[in-house]
Amino acid sequence: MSESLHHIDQLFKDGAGDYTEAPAPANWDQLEQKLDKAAVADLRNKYRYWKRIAAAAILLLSLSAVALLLRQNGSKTAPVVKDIPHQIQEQPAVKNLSPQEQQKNSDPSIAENNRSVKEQTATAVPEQQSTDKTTDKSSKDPITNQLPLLQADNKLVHDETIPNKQQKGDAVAPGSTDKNSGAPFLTLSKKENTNRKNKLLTARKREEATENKQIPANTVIDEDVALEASAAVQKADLLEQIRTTRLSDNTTSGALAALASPAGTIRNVWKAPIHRFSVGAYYAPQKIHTEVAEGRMEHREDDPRKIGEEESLSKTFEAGVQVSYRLKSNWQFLTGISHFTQQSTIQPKTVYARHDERRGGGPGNPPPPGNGDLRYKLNCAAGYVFLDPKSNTAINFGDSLNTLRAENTISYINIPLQASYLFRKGRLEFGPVAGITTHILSKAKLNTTLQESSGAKTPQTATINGLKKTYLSGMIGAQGIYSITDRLSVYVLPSTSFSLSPVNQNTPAKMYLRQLGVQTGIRLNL
Amino acid sequence: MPSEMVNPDNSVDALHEFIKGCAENDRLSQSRLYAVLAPRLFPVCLRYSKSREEAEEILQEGFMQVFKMIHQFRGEGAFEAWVRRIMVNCALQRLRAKSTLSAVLNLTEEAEALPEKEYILSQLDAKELIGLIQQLSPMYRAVFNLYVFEGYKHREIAELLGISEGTSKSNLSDARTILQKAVLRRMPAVQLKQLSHE
Repeated sequence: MSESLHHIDQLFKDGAGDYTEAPAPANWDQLEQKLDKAAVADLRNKYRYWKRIAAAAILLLSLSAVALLLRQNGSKTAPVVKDIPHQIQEQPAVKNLSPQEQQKNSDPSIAENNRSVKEQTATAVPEQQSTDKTTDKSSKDPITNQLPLLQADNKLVHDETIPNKQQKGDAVAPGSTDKNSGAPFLTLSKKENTNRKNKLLTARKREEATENKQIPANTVIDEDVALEASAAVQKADLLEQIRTTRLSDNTTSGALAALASPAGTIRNVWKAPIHRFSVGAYYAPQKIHTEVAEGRMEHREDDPRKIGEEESLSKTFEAGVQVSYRLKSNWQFLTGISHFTQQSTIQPKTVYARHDERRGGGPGNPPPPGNGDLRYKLNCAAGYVFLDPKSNTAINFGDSLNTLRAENTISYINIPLQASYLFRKGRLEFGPVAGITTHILSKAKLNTTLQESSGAKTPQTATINGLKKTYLSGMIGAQGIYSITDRLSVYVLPSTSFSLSPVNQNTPAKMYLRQLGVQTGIRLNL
Repeated sequence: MPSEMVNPDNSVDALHEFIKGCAENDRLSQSRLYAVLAPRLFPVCLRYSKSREEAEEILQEGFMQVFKMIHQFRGEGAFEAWVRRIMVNCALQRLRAKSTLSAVLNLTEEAEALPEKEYILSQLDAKELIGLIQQLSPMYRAVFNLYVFEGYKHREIAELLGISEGTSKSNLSDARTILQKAVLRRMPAVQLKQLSHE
């Protein structure tokens, strides 16, 4: 019977082995339709990735634009130092007031208030003239524009916190209320501010009048008011100077510090000085996604999908140093060096004896005697390794053994080159970042245990083959920098990066790395 | 089918040209390669399938894979063997997807001895032999094809089909028995046919 069975094997092999038969002609047409569909799908897949990148870039730009817009709007409403001229332009003069508002200006209670203010300042300026000029000046004078925003505790507040009428220079009676909202116009501290403002205005007028030699002989000058006014004028000049020089050098910080210090009248205007060079150190926790595509399929165990499923990322680590160079404009360039390591775990699997091409078999590279070029091949997403059993059992092509759980470790030295555009808001700077990174392979090892046919378990450490020595990746992100002091700042840089090509070649599975990380670090400004 | 497929050039150089063209997604090269290889590979698909329609589907899927991965062919070894392996994998994937691999019989009955091979082959043509293979259950068909035509070992078959090595051996034995009986059943009929012609 045994002979008969082998006989039937041979019968079918000889009878049907070399048989040829063409399929129906319609089969090619159907195949062609499938090829067309696949081509369209490939095209979609090809651009899907770039679409995502483009969408992320557009989103980032949009956010930046919104941030810029908000910043500009904020500067219009909050009288930050360099925006004072805008404030002046936007404040309408009294001559532009509506008739109703003008009528309000002539309200007896308001006039009464003005009068009381003037009495406090012991001014000799005629009452009507003082009122008119106060209204007019408030729309032009940077100092007076600022003053309504200074509360008793000397903190800056937004214009919105003060009723419009007051912004437009209306004098408001103490304790009076908004006709629309019914809320009191001013608290006690604001009332003090109003008095202070009027004092300063009067003193300013005196100064001007003194310069023009128009001070009436009977004028009594309050020394305190005059000193305060003088300081305010100096500040205004300083502010104007800063505005025109656009906060471009280290003197700005000193000037601003001086500005803030005397009476503590202006806070929150401190800005980090711009240092051209800075060095820093960072740590970047990352979430890595490996995308596996079809590579070089030679044997049945080369299924990339299966290879990907059997592998899971266990941990990653990246830390490095960073150097940044700042242009006079808002551009910043970043580079540095970092060390990146990722570890993956591979489930136990069956490995098969395959030819190790590096051991010979090719032209001019004869294989070693015996079955020396036959080794057990273990595939992983990054590449493959060859394992050698300790036992001297002859290996035949296709023989299989099992491996226990394996762990691979891949390390790279990364050199990034990035550009960033930064927006400033006080101590905070923020803006988009984009760049490329060169990854230089420094380590690629796989540790596993080979379960031999004898039952012995042999630990194995092998170098992963197939990984490229270098590859490039692109990144986009956004960074936020907070200046703790003149020299020291901390920053955070959430970003996404993506390898521009597979990180390996001539492997069963092509591996693409996608990283989502948050770089956090500290910088020392030089 | 395009007219240029009527006279396909089988030379090695032409095949290399087709492969190169296919790697660049050139439709003309694809059609010519199909014209050259389809007649040789279609019987392979027939052996792994139950019907002609199923075989044509396997052939299409196989060629889709070939055109997709052709740039990975490094020119080492026979191209046709590489394509054939892809076809077999497609056929096996289809079998796995159908999940009918476990439905097998355990035949203990032995068949009678066969007449001489030459005699049988003179009576049964290749198409009829393939028809007999198609009548096997999917599992028997797969094991028999892999062992007899592809030259796999039982260990490899077991790995490919997700069964034990013993099951693979047992299934092969059963498949042989079934085929042997089927061949024997055909013999008298053929002889009778011949006699009636005479």
